[in-house]
Amino acid sequence: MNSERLAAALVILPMVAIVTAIAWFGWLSERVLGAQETVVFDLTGVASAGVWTLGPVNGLNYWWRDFQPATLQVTEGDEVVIHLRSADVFHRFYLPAFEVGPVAIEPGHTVTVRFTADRAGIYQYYCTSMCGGCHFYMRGWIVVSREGEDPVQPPPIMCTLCRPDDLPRPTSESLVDRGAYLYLEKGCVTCHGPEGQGGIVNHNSANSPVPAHNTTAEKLFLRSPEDAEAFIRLLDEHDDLEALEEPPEIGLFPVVRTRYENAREIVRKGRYSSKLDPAGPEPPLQMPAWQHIVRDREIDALLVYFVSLYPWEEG
Amino acid sequence: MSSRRQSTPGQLAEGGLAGFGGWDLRSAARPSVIWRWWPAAVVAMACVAFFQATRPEVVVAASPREVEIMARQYAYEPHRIVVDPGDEVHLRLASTDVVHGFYLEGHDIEAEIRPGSLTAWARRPSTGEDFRELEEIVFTAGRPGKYRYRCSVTCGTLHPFMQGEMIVRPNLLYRASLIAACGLTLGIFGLMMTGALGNGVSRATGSPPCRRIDLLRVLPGLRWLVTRRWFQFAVVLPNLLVLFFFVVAGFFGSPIGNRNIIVTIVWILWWFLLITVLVPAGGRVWCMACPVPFAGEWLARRRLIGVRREAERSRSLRTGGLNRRWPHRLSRMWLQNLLFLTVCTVSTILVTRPALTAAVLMTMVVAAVAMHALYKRRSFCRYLCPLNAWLSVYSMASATEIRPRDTGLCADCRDHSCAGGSAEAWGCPWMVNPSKLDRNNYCGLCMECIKACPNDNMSLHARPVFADVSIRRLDEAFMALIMIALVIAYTVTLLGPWGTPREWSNVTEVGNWGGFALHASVVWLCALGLVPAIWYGLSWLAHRVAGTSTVSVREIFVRSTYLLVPVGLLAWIAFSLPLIMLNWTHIASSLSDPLGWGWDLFGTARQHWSPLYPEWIPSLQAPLLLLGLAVALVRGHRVAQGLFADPSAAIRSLIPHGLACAAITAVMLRLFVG
Repeated sequence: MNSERLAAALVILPMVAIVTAIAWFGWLSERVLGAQETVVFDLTGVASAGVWTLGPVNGLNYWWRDFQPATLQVTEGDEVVIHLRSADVFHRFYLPAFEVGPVAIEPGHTVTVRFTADRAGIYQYYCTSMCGGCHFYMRGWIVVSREGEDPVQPPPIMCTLCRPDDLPRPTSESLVDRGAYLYLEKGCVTCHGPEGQGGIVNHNSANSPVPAHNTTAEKLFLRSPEDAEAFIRLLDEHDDLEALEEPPEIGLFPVVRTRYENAREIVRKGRYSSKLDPAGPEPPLQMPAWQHIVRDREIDALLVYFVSLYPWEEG
Repeated sequence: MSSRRQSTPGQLAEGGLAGFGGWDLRSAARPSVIWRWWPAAVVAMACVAFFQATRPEVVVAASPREVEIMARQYAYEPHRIVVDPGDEVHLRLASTDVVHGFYLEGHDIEAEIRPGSLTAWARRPSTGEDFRELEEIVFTAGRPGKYRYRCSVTCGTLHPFMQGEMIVRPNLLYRASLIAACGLTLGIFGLMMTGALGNGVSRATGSPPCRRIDLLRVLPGLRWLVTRRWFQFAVVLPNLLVLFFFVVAGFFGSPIGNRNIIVTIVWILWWFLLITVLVPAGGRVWCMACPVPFAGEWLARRRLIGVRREAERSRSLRTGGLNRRWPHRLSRMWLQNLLFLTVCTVSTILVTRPALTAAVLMTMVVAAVAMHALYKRRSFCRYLCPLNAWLSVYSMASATEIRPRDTGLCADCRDHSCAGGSAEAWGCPWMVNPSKLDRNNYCGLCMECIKACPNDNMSLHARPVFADVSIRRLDEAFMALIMIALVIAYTVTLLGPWGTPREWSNVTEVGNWGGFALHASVVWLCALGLVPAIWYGLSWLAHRVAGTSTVSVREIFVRSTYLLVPVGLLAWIAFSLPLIMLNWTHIASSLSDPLGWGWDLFGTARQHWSPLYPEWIPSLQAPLLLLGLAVALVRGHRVAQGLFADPSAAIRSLIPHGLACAAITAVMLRLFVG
């Protein structure tokens, strides 16, 4: 019977030891040496949910992917430490306000960044490496509040793609409707603002805020609502403006056409947003080259949607 | 077996004298004229294969070649590019979804492709330099052959399988190996006809007489070891602890497959060792070390090491639990064949999700406990474990066996401790009669019979590989067929350059249930319908060609599936080889960081992905496949000789299945090398 007891002990004790060792090593690797007021966050990037989330992402909870974007609340003067991880693909973490990053987050590796939250305010952190359909929604707030002040609770940035109710399918096949859908689906809205109103701040960018799109009609030299409508109809019916047999009844059509082609090229090739302060951090929001991601006709749809957004009534 | 031909010695001698080297058509019962011209058919097929192999490939573009490759999860477009040696290739890379990598085998090129960017970041990995931003990558195509380009940046669940292929034509290796396959087939049939392969076969067992080495006599230390009561416990214990650790890691560790030890060790290392070492060398030796039934068996025996005292009093050796008999209807492997096929249908998801792997392993442990509580002995392993079915069939290939030393002694033995148990040992947990063992299929190598035998008549023997040649049951035959269908399906979905089958099989991420249904039904229809139907058709043909009606078509069908064991085993080895050569760095890094939590225990956690001589993979796979074909034909000759007394009828009966094995080899060559 002694050998049986020994064998049972050999089974059970190492199992306990394994669990203990995992927990202990886990604690050891998370431990941060620093001053008393050091605040530690664990941020894990989840591409399929488009969030940086607090808390562990493991085999169990990843299956359901119900992750919330993290709002980091700190007090002015705090030493902040963030452990960054990826739950799936390659991400890049960037917090331009405190010149943290952009730092590559490879799947399976932990990257630790630290900074001092020396200015009160509300700042954004980003993922700056395209990581899938939800990438542009993958950003969150860091709120630095003064000692004794009630911290502000900005609404979290949620991915519309992951909540299909917020992303209704286009009601018709018209270009404007498809454009409105793509504007949300491709995440354009996160930088260019709801309904192309702009106003999204691009840290240290020479052309911050990010350009609005409800003035596209003006930029294309469409000078009246009639011209704009004729132009929308024209694109609905033709996908190649060069191949038109007779010029449509739109004022200064050659100019409009050239400008339209230029606009398309910007979407296709992307555009680099230069720094305002050359010594400062890289602007976090850059127009990507969309030519391999969206089809040319989809770019038409987006541009036509922008044209339809022009507030003609306000003059 | 009942239908095996009753032969007379006279008949054999007559056949041997009349023709050249035992080749005589007259001894056959009048095959029609068409069947007499089979050598012409073989030559014609070889010619077709030869011209197919040497056919010039389509021209794509003139040098310098401009190639634009689009990466997406989990494939490249185009998935195949064809160039000439020395071509200057201008490569532009783009991604449509996430950050991908691009590693071109044999050309020392590694790149990072960022979506939304018109440039790529590239470097020469051998120099260890940093990535540089380039608009296009320019390289010179190297020696003729097949080179794969694969993703080098973890880009999602199926990242390790994302690949495309570049052919530098002419693909000499592919052509040479196709010709070699034809030559082997013709050559071995020729040797059979001249009688050089021998006609000796033990007609009683269908196994060839071959030299066996009694390992326990040669190695007294091994004998001492396996007769210890604690032997199996000592073997299982490390695996049990490892399994426990893996399950914890699977549930609580990183959800990324290649960063979690449960996936890297189980699906890369364990699978590789199982198929390339354990099965060919030890047959079901994994069953000896398997930790899955540990808890159930402990519960049933209430002993980890010893044999229960009650055993001494009553010979029945009652264990705990209800000790029911497993329903006879389910005692064939049909249920396991279906379970195995089910697991394989979802395996793309299974092998890339740590939590699912952990859940499946835990389910097996729980099922084993339940089975041990309800049914006798290792009913779980025999009747439910999805692995049992294929281990059973492929263990026939192994280089070791447990057999009685002297079957005569067993025939006179009244003790039967090996099957029923004694005070020293449990009765065979696998519910076989060790004294009558003549093939490996259901022997789990637990060594209890060696401990039990009062005459010390059971032993572990070394023998030539592929020595058991008798598949006797329809369920076993189907397993051999299923494994062939699966190795093709796996190679297409996981190692193929095509993105669509991968997308279909990866349903939990993509959500394309229609595609998954198509994928599942193709796999099931091929494995259970198409492949067996073709094999049955060939068996009918073999029946006709052999020209005797003494052996039924069904008997030929069942027996001849043995040819698929060497073909299948070697194809699986060829399939598993790239898994380890490409992904060994994942094993190294997950050993240092088993849960993907950012640990670095041994300093290997940050190991950069670098495959091991990936450009040599096709050159290793081709000989393996050819070896499988050669062994299949040689052993198939034995199978046929066991069926037909007339040597020439035996050879003729082998033609359809032999050619089918050559065709399977050609298909696998096309997938791996072509």
